Amino acid sequence: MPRARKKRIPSPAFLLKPVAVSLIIAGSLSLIWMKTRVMEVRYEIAELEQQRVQLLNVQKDLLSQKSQFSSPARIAMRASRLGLTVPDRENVYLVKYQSRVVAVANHSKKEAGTPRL
Amino acid sequence: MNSRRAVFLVTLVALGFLTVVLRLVDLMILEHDWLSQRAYRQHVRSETVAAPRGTIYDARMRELAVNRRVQSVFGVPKEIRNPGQMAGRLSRVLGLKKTALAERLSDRDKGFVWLARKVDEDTVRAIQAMNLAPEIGFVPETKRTYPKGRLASHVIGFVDIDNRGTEGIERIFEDVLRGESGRVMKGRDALGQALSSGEDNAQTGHDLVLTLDEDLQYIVEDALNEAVEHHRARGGVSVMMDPYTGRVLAMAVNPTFSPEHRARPENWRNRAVTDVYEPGSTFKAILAAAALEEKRVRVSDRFDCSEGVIEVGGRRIHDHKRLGVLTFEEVVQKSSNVGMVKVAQILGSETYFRYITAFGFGEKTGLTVSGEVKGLLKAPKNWSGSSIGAMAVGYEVAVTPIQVLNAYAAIANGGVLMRPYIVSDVLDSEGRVVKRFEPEAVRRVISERTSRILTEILETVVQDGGTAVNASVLGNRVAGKTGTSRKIDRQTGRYSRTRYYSSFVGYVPSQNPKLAMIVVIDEPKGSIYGGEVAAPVFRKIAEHALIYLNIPREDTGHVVLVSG
Repeated sequence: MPRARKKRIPSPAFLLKPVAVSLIIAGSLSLIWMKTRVMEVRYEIAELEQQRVQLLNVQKDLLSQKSQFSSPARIAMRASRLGLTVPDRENVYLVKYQSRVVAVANHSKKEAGTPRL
Repeated sequence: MNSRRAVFLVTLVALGFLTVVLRLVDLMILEHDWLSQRAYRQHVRSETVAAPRGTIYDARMRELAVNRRVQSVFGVPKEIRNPGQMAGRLSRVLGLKKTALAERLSDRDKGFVWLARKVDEDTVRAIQAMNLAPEIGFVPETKRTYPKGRLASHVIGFVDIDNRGTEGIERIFEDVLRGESGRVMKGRDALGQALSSGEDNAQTGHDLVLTLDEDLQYIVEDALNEAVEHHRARGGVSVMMDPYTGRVLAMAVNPTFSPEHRARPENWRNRAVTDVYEPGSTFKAILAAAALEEKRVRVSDRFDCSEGVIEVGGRRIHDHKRLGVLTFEEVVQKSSNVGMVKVAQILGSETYFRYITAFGFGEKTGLTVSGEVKGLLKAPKNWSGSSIGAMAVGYEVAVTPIQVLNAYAAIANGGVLMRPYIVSDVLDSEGRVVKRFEPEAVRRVISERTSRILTEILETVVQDGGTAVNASVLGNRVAGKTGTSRKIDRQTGRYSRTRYYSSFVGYVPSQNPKLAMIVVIDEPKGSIYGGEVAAPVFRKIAEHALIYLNIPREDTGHVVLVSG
């Protein structure tokens, strides 16, 4: 029986060199790309940090302005321009909210304490 | 020939490589340390960061002193070719004299001179538009600002150009507010562009929370300023306090000043604690408290004041008119000098002095504001024959308004002298409490019974027949005492007949006091009596303050709304 002729499989060794070179080139490019990206991100972070500091300063300034605007002297001045005055004590009634249950209980106590004719 | 050429080329290449290797050895091994330091300096810039000063808040966490980021302008003289021309351009924007600027910019030995500190945004923009870098540059700084303007300026004080506390709370609590400057390492690329702003290690100063209430402070200042203006007075002081805790709720002084545009240093004093005066009749409550506590007099004891004058140690002390025979209560109500001298004589100098010191006179109250003095108080061994009479009516003793108020607060709260305080909390930058100041009782001075009796007597002062009807408050009972004392004429060394202190000190509601308050008007023109000058100020302040504090009238109470 004739021996079947074995098909010659090409050795993969010939691929090793191009693959390795490709990998090295790809790796190097990736490294460069990553390094570039890191730099870009660092620039972005620096810019954002700067923005954050600026915004915090703006916030501080706004808080300071808010305090200025809400100063009692300024409010009193505005109020007097609008014709508003501080009410006399006789025109002020202090209001206290009370639940019905408490109110009834208080009323009953008062009634009990009141001498009956 | 070819082989010789090849050898030459190989040698050349080898030498080239050798040079490169040697250079690499030089750079990477021999000069490594020096070069790495240089690279670090090039890529990382270290900058000093000033620590922001802590904020000062009122009792309701409203900002009274804050920081604002500003820029300061500097010049680099050794880089400037034409200082005169540069000074000319900058003087218009900075509002400074051209000659002064030119002088500063001409010193070519210097690499840095300040041109203007803490300038406003518009000025910065105008200079930036001139494109003067690198000869002219900016340094970011913080500027202390006081958003409420003159409000409580005598208490808060102010800072100098370098943000160091110079007056008031700013000075007293400098160590707490200041914080620690730090450094920040900022990464930069070869072109100098920022790669990271870095983390600084500066420690922000602690914040302070005062016991002052911004609104009450305004009410007090407004009424005081109006009264000083109305009576054409030299000045005035008014302090409001919670008598049970010693919390100072408001402290107003006239003349006022702006902490940011301050002028006239004589106006910076917090006269509530730095200036002394003879309290006059307001001091009679101290004598009355002592006499009642020692049970040397009773409310119904009668004193003959019909002569209208009494002689003590060769000195004649008068009443403003003949008042007849008065009970002890009436002696206080009508502020009879004759009656009070008689009470002092019954009590004796040693005992009287003991109570004066027990009420805190002759010593500092310990309030944490700048420049407090202890006043002047003579020991009995140094008293002259007339001293007992003079001290009975509030002369020969120099006190501060805060001392008088604190003594009345003790009468109001049932007899305990409290240590007044004006800072309630120290907070860190995260808002956590680092230190809390609690109310502190100094000592019991009189019993609750004496306090109650004296309060009832002091209530009559504000009622019909008393000297302070103008201090009465609609709907709430007031207890208090007027004072009208002569000032010493510095030229003659005698008591002036034209210059007076008019004062009123009291508390409201008298039976459960929420506020104790003193009003002192310095040299009012026209009317001079405490009951006519200071008492109305007390009423005005008290009525507004009671509304603000939601304290109901005793006659109407709260209106109850029933829900549910």
